[in-house]
Amino acid sequence: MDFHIERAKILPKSNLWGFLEGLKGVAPLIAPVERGNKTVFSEVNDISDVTINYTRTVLPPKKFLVPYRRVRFTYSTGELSFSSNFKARDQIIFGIHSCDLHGISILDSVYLKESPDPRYLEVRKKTVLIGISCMPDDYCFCLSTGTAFPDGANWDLFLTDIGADYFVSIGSPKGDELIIELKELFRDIEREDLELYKRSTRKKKEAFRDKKLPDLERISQLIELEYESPVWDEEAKRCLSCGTCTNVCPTCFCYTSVDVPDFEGKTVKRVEFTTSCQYPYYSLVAGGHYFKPTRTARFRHRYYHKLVGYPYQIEKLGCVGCGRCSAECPAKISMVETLIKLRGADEKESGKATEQTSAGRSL
Amino acid sequence: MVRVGIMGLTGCSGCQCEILNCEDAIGKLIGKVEFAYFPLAQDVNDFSEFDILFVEGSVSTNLDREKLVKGRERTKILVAVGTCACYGGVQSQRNDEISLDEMLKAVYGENKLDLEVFKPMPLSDVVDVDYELPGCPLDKRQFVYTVASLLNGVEPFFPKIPVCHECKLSETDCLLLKGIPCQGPVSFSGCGAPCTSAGVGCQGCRGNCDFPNFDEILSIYRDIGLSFDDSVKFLKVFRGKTISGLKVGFSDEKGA
Repeated sequence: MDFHIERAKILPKSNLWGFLEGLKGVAPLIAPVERGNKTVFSEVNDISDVTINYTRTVLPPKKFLVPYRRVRFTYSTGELSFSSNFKARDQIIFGIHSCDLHGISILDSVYLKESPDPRYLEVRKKTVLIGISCMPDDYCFCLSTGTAFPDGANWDLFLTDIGADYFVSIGSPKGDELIIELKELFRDIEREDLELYKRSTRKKKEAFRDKKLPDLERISQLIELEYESPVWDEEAKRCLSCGTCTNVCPTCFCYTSVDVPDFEGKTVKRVEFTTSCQYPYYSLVAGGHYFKPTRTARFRHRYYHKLVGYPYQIEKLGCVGCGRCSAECPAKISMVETLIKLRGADEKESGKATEQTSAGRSL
Repeated sequence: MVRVGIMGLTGCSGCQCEILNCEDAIGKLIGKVEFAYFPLAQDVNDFSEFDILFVEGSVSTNLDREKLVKGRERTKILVAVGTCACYGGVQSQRNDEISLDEMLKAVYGENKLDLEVFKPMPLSDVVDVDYELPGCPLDKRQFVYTVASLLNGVEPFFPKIPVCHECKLSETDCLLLKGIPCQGPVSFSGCGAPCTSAGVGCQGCRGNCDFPNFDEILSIYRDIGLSFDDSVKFLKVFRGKTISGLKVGFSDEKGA
């Protein structure tokens, strides 16, 4: 059988550190590192800090594409002129799981589809995304959201663990160039590798066999129809409105801005920072009106935006099943549980994960 | 020149010290503003009139009250600095549990005091307050930002979002999930979450965030083994009268 050999290569596991060292020589390297009991994406100076087998980072790699706090511009009140010292730098983000790659692809759609954000575009152009395969824990539900495996073309390289080696899929010319640059670390694919690669897909799916997964078929319609459901009240009762769910979400992008003058009043900085639809002031407008006046309204808003709003806007669900919002919620509110409750009794019949393949919104 | 005053009522002067710690900012301010009144830091003081008056401490004696009322009359803008001035502070945490007579007896016995004292209260119980900068002590960056804004006629902006915002963005482990009592989800951020990132639960020194969900936080405390009484005491430490209406039972009213 013929297959395009340049679409994939094999990286023996023993060469992984050499590969990371090589990447670090090309551009600043960002990778998952351990911090306390958690894993976080961080710029690495010493590649021995990099952790390969992690479940999820606290914050998604989004923070290196859209910083949580950023200065949009500075203006001079005397000359009425604007200036900005924004400059995107080359960076390689290594070790991104499939769900987060899908998260970035959603951000790409949001930021670039209509009237592209020039800053985001510049950052994206200078960023190399290298993914790595993973196995789910109890919070993961990427099999339901159809994000368990990388597809599309928004990433550059993806490493799939096939035992003694990594099967490296090449997703872009940038990825291809990196492989050429470090070609002595790679070998060509053989039939056997391809078999192992195919098997790894099944292995990940099987890992979901005993997990509770929400059925996301027709979820947009369902949420719209269940807008008045008492489930929203029940769940919102426990919500602290702390904003953790949106702050850790790989697809949330809301921000607010404030103008900060200096003492002399000569320059003013416009500072943008991440905010959350879960905060009451988010929907507060002049005159003291709250568009989302109740906790229930705010709680529902998040689900509504993720599962109804995004599909209207970018034709994809806004949830990638990474499980961060559930794993980090101080009140232990679970997206999966909420969706199962909303779906009601027939959820029991829809069965376990084994039959599920991907989300597929069938509107 | 803009005349600024910084005065203290009943409190530990920690916030005034923190203002003094803003060395870079003070260096820039001298020349722009006149520190007309700042007895903690200078010998020559003039209490005649102000553009901006910062007041630290709670009101607990007639002297405090008179000084504050006078200050209010003589300033264009009055800013409460620190949790004592904003909410009454730690000294007011048991205001609703005990009478003034009992308090006085416990501390002074039968001795008579030659001033009038009352339960510690926030400035806003006595006069109109334009801005509140809570915190124990107040946050330096917030002080600098407020001064810079007021000097330029810009309204300072303090969204009352929870401490979890800053805690999570610094990728700190959630302490509540680890079973450590933390007030982050019901407390007003702006501090940069230094306590939680050092592994100590938020003590709520900056008071309530917007519409805090006390029912849920109490139920979380119960789950991690705190009794109801201990939980309420824990929440009351810095909140002064802002928590006196603490009711148990979910209500989904405006903003709730």
